Amino acid sequence: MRNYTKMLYALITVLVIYTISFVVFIMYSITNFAFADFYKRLDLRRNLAAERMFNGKRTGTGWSLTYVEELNKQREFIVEFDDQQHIMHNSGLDSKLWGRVDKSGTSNFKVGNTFYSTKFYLHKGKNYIIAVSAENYFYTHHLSYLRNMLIVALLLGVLFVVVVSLLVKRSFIKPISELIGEVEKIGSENLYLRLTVGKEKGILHKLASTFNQMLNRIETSFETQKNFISNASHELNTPLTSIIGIADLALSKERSIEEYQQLIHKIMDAADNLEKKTSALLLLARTGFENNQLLFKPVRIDQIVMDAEMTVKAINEHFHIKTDFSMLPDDSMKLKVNGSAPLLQLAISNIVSNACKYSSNKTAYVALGAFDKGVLILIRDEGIGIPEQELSYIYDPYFRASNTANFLGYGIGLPLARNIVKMHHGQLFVSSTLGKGTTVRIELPTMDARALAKAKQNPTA
Amino acid sequence: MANVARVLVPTDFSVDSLRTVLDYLENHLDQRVEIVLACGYDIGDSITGILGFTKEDHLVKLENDDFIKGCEMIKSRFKRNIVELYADLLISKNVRYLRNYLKGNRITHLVLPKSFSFSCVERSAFNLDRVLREHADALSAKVVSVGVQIGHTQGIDTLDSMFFRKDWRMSYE
Repeated sequence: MRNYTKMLYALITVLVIYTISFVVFIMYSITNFAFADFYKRLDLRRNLAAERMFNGKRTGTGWSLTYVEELNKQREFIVEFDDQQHIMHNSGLDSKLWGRVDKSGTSNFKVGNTFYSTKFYLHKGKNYIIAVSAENYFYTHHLSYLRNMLIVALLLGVLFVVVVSLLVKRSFIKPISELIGEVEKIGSENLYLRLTVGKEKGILHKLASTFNQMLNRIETSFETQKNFISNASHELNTPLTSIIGIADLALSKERSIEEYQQLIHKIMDAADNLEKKTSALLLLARTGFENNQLLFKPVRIDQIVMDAEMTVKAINEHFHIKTDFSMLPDDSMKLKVNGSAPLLQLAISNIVSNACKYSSNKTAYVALGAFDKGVLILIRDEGIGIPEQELSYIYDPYFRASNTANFLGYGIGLPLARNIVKMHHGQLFVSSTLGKGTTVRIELPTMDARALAKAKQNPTA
Repeated sequence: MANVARVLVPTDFSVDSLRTVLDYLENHLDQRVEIVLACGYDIGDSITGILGFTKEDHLVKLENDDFIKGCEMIKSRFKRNIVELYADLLISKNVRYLRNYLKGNRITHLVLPKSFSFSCVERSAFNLDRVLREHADALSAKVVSVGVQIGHTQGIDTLDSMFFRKDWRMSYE
């Protein structure tokens, strides 16, 4: 920023110097031209004066010379001098100027506003200097007017340059200052805040978008860990209780080998689910998403939805899920999403378990469909709904709607789900009617055939 | 193309109205169809309205994102059945116009829902379902009735009405 200001001031200085140089050049050129022109006119009058003095009449140098206008305060001088350049006769030339006169040729000089033109003449063996002086009216009036005008123009120009530069500086810096202000507001306690991304596509737009994406990753990382900590006890406790219950049941009495096998299979399934869940959560908690792109690979969204449902059911046996796959596309390619299966599963299972939790019938309705460039997952419930005035706060971590006091929860699931969806370049919408239910719509972009082929060739990417 | 049916379905550009298409397709899985989603639209009689705006301009105004997504989902789901699916506007209630439109577009079937509660917010749009029912006898296309009721689904999300239409399609795990 300091460098930017320095550059701006340097630019202003350059512009001011240029303006001053331009004014000085104009003034110098016009003055030079005026002087040269006036000296020519004086030379003409000096020649006429010499003719008149030496010949006593106007000769045929042209009729126009007869009618040459008299200049302002025009005076004519004749000075006779000897070979030692001592003045013998002087018709009024100031003796102080004698030193400036060329005694063997012509000379032009000015004293104040009076311009002089002199020339040496040798007439009848005597040395003469014929001089003409006059005031340059153009110099005294027009040029001073021009000088004043240029000074005013220069001052106005400098003022204009400075004002415009400062305005430009302010308009350049204003969006950056706003961004800085917004960034300063973001802390670990309000990581859900985002920078305002303007409509104009520019470098600042890109900067804000990139920063927001980075915040998404950081927030997801934070929230996943919090989610893991807050939900681990509950989520891990249920399958563990289930395993312990089955084991207790198995040990309660002597059983046949088939019964033992059945019970062990049940324990295996529960443990398998538990392992999947913990590994996914631990993976998220550990990785922190620095290299989340490396975890992304083509996944089938219908499989993820089904896995998420199984996870939810494993967590709580009272939860019911009704799925509608009637709109699944004929082409399975339309279900391929480039993403992280554990993350997506975590997002969907969070929303599904919310749908079950906040419904009296403990039922979530899950539907899946595919449009041209993406898949659509609809998760609906017939539960308590969200008050309309609170809908804008539902993505704030730890926010819980006013009608959820009787339900256990931490207010982390939905923000986390939305961040995971955002990481997959998707969108999550929540529509709700109080007392009637809530519908969560997730839209995720599908992979096109070209990207899919590329992913198959390079599975690590 | 001889065995491809050309079907006209009245719509008000709501997602709910697409349930007619879904119901028809689910009951005709062995048939290949070209579907025209048609809405009545009065383009007015001002010269600027007639010369300055094309049918596509009016359609862009009428079709919302969810309606387009709904259409795309139907096309994905019934890829084998649907040859073509597009929206069109019928600009008159006149029976001769309707007859000529159906003939010109080679429409073989009119698919009409059990009841149609028209709910288009655009003032110039009119309920084509009612007009088609009124003149059904005078038209050459065969009328196919489907059991759905359009405009009666109270979904929270606009796309709700595309799913959970039949209990037997759900899993109860």
